Amino acid sequence: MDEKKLIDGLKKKKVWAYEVLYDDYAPRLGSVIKSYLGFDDVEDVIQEVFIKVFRNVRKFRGDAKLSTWLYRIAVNVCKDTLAKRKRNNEFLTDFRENEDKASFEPPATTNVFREVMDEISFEELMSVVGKLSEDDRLLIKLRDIDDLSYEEIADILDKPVGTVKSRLHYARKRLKELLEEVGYIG
Amino acid sequence: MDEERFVHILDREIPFEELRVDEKKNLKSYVKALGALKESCCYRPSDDLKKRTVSKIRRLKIKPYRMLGTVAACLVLGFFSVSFFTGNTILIKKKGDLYQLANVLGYSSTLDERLRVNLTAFPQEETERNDIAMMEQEMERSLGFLSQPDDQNAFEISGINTTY
Repeated sequence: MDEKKLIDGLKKKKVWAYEVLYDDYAPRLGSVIKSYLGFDDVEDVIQEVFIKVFRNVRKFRGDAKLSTWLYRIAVNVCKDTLAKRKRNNEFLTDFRENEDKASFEPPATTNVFREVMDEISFEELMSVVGKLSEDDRLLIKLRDIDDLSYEEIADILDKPVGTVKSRLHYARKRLKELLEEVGYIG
Repeated sequence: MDEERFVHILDREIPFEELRVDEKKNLKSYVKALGALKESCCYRPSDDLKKRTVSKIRRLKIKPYRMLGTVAACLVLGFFSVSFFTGNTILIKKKGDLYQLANVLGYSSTLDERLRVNLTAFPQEETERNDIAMMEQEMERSLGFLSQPDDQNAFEISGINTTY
């Protein structure tokens, strides 16, 4: 569907527009949220993102692409969720001192990718990926997987392009080091 | 591998064909790791979530109208309450004021006499007369306590004078 028509529908609070938005963007947003948060509690965040879109769509001036604006909202909701989670963890630390930190969860279902890799390699890779920080994972996901430009990433994260480049450089370096540690890269 | 060069390779600033064999190998490994990350982030939204999200948006959409409706209902209720209490009074009479209460209720009888209710001056039919007799009995049963001596009426009595 034409993006302009969709934005018009969203601004007029038409339910069909939100259905189209969900169909078109929920998978991509869910993927970004999952890469950032690293756990499967994605549904609440997606719902929160759509509610924020509903409440703030009138403020969307169309300077950036709709997808960029949506990603930005998703990242901000993720940051809030993480902050809330950290506060709760701090509060609960005294009660569960020996419990492990939340780890990056591997996908629950088997898939083609997993089948073509041997089990150990896949688990190793998942463990490596899980060692990256949330910001590193997000940057690598946006740039190297979703293939967004530096400018778009800078817009999403509300940071200068130079900062994004520098952070992505360190994120890649960190991933490369982790891969070298397990002997994946020589 | 040189970090800067690796970044340039990832940004596709150096064509794949120009890479050395070890660089190609490392790049493939890195891409494989990215594949793992991609798979781990793969998300398929459910229809159930769509329904819940859309219904929440629908609720948010009608929320202002619902609030408006509630405010309007409160205003109407307030208006009727004010008009009711300005046009009507609630009398609360203690025992001893039973004469006044009887007047409020539309009786001119005194407490010394039995209550008489004259509903129609000239009943025409037998059935009408029976009906009236029954109504009189009923009135006497329900309001007969007014004619009882004061010591048996040891409670407070309220009366509402209303035009409704």
